[in-house]
Amino acid sequence: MKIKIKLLKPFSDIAGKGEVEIEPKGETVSDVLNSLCELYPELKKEIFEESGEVTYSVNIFVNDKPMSALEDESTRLKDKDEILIFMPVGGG
Amino acid sequence: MKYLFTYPEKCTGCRQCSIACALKKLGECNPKKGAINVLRDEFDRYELQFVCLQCEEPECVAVCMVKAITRGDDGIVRIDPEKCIGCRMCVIACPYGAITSFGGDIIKCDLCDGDPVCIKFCSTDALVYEEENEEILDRRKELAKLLLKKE
Amino acid sequence: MISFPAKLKVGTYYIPHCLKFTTDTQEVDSMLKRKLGIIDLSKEKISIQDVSESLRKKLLGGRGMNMYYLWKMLPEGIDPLSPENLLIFGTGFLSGTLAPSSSRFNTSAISPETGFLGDTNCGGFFSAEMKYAGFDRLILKGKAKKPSYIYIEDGTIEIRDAKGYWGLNTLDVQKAFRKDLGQVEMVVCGVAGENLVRYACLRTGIKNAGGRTGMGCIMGSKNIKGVVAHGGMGIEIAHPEEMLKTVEELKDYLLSSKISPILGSVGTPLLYEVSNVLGGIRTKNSQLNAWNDNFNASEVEKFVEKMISCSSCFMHCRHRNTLGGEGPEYTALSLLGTNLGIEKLEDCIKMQNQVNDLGLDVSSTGTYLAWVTELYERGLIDDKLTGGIELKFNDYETYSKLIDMISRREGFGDILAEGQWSAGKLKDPKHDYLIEVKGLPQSDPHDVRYMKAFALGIATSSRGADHLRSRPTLEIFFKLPPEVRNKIYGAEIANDPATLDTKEHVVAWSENIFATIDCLGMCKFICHGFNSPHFVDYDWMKRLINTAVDWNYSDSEIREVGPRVLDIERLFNLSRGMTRAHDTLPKRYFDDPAPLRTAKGHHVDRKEFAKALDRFYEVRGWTNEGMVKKPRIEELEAIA
Repeated sequence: MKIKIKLLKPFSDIAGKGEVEIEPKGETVSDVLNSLCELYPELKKEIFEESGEVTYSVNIFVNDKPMSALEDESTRLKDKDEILIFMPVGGG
Repeated sequence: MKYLFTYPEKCTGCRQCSIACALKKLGECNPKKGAINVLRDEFDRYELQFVCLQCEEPECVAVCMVKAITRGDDGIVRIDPEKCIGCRMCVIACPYGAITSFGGDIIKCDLCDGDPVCIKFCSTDALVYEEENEEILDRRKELAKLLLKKE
Repeated sequence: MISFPAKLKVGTYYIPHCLKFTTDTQEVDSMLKRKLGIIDLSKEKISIQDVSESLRKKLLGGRGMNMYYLWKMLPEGIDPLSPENLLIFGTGFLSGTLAPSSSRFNTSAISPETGFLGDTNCGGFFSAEMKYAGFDRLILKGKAKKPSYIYIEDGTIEIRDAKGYWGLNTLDVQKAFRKDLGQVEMVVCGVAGENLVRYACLRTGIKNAGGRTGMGCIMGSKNIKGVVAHGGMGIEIAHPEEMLKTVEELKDYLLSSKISPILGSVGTPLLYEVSNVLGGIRTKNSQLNAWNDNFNASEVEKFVEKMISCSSCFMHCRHRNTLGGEGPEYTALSLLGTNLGIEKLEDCIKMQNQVNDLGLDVSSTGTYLAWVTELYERGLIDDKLTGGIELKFNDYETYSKLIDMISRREGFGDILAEGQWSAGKLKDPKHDYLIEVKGLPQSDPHDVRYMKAFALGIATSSRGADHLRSRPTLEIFFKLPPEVRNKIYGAEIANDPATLDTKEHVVAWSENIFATIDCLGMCKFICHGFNSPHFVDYDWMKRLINTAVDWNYSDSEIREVGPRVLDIERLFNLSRGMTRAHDTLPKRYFDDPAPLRTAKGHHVDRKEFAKALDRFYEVRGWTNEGMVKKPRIEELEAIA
């Protein structure tokens, strides 16, 4: 299946692009992130802790829902799903 | 010997260095009584730190008539408060404006005897405490990158 | 010429009047001995008082103490522009100390823009200097006979003639004060405040502002151009080594977050991109909810010369821009950018610089200009009313001209200067097209039709449509284990941003902790729950307090401060005529589904909202009509 990933700052700066389309090995969000980090190894330390967990300074939306409203990294995806990766920041 | 080095282009004007200094030395939060002072002018758009450079041949030592200021074996220039008469000649003589005269007190950096507190509160490395030869080496390497376009 | 009609004896010695601005006797005081100055401008009388330690323990300082005095000292029925209104400048409990980002102060009064609670929080260097001048609070009442300014220095207060300063805008007047008075810090109003524009703001520095609720207008109504501070009175700390150790630890903790370097290099504009992608940006008066990429942080970066700080701040999130000013913040990118259909970032930055110089609030100005543009497009108003000015989105030249006219109340600018009070004249008497709550235009750029917790937050905020009373983001933004998330909020929280279900807990929790940090005078940017669960929480706050004073302040004591402040604010608003009907949303958020992006189709359902409001009142401990219960009122009346 094909998954479209939209990267926002600072992840877009690190990967060098804002949009990536990948065919992940596997169907969960975790699998997609792993495939993404294989393509762009510098992203690995931004997205993952040493333990392998996704860090809190990353937020991920699957289509229109945050990962936390689904099954976190175990969320199963289907073909043409869109993933949004960004840093959660506040402000005014 | 280690010295304090300042990089005004990195200074954000937050004054935590000054506040920490006065807090440690005098027990009060007061940036005007720090041995390091940050001059801020948001209209002229600059931030500039002033702190003692522990000169090899200090002007302040030369002008002090009561010999209250001495340069120790550790390279640190100190004012002895017992001898100081508060004439402020050292304040005027220092070419770097590094000595503070405030409310009757003459305040000068003594590097906290080798463990300066100010650097612990600078979030941008606008203030570092380094061996003089290491500091110049770091800066030369930065310049080399720029001049030789090595990135 | 300077006149000194009101000089004070402080303690048992008299501070000599002189033109030098450092004195030889510097009195060192703990933060508990900072004074309250009550200035009667009509009678030219000044009273300097101590504040009881027990009151400080209950409300700490900053916003909380301001609210207390407003509630206790203001009788009902006062017109905000009358001399009877009070204007309170209050530093935070920890302002001016080593505590990180302890640079904030609150300014409070009855708002001329809404008629309800007026309160605004501002950073920069004024708060710290006011503390070093010996004061933590000034209460202004009455009205000066002629344009004046307040000067405070080392325990003294003077009312001085503002001749030569009145008539200047916020940058020129501050430069003039510095030239004449030395390295002073000040809070001023601009020409907009002098002309009583209802949303004129307070300003300090190049861009720091106490923006919302028209406090600059109140300054103008009292004939006060500014409050100027200069002081060398350090704040004596109970446990200096503990404070040094604690703040060093906190600094390392804050800077270890991956979010910190981003905030410090790009600032709030970072949020634009994600809000835009999701469809959460107020665009063209919220007719749209997304816009172009010209306002992304990567574009803003091109205009940044250097990132700088407010007093005591490690985060340095403020931009010194290459167009001669500072900013833009995320809010300006929208309110003076996308909301006006602006396509070029440079036009937005120039308008932001202009608005700051004149002393006008960014959010109100941007909302009102968008409002009348839509009204004009719909044919509700025409050239006769606008004085021949054609209104259309993306018209930078016209908007810039109007901003000037608003500050001088000239022509159509006079109608705009009245804000929501001109709704009748503008043929929108029911505010159908005005994005406001309680009469206050919405502060932030967020189109809240998708993020329902935000919607509940702006509907219930005590000063009107505002995102700084609460900023409920944790529940959807962070990959937190549910148990941890629920422990923070004290209840099961739904993660779906599009539902109102359980969001009353998120909003209430957020309100409480933000009120607390506002009492401390620390910046919300490093507050737990604003950007991250990784920042300053109740535990850090308690630790910082206990290094500064010998209170042994407990966890339960600090958690009681927020609810106390919110209840006092509610009581104040109720006394000004607020009812449940005011806790609502703009018609557009209810009735018009969002048109674009992820948010497409979303809107706030009125029935769901009513139920959420019921639940919110219950969490706050209020009645179903939103009233504070009698036992609680008695409890609050007895706190000092």
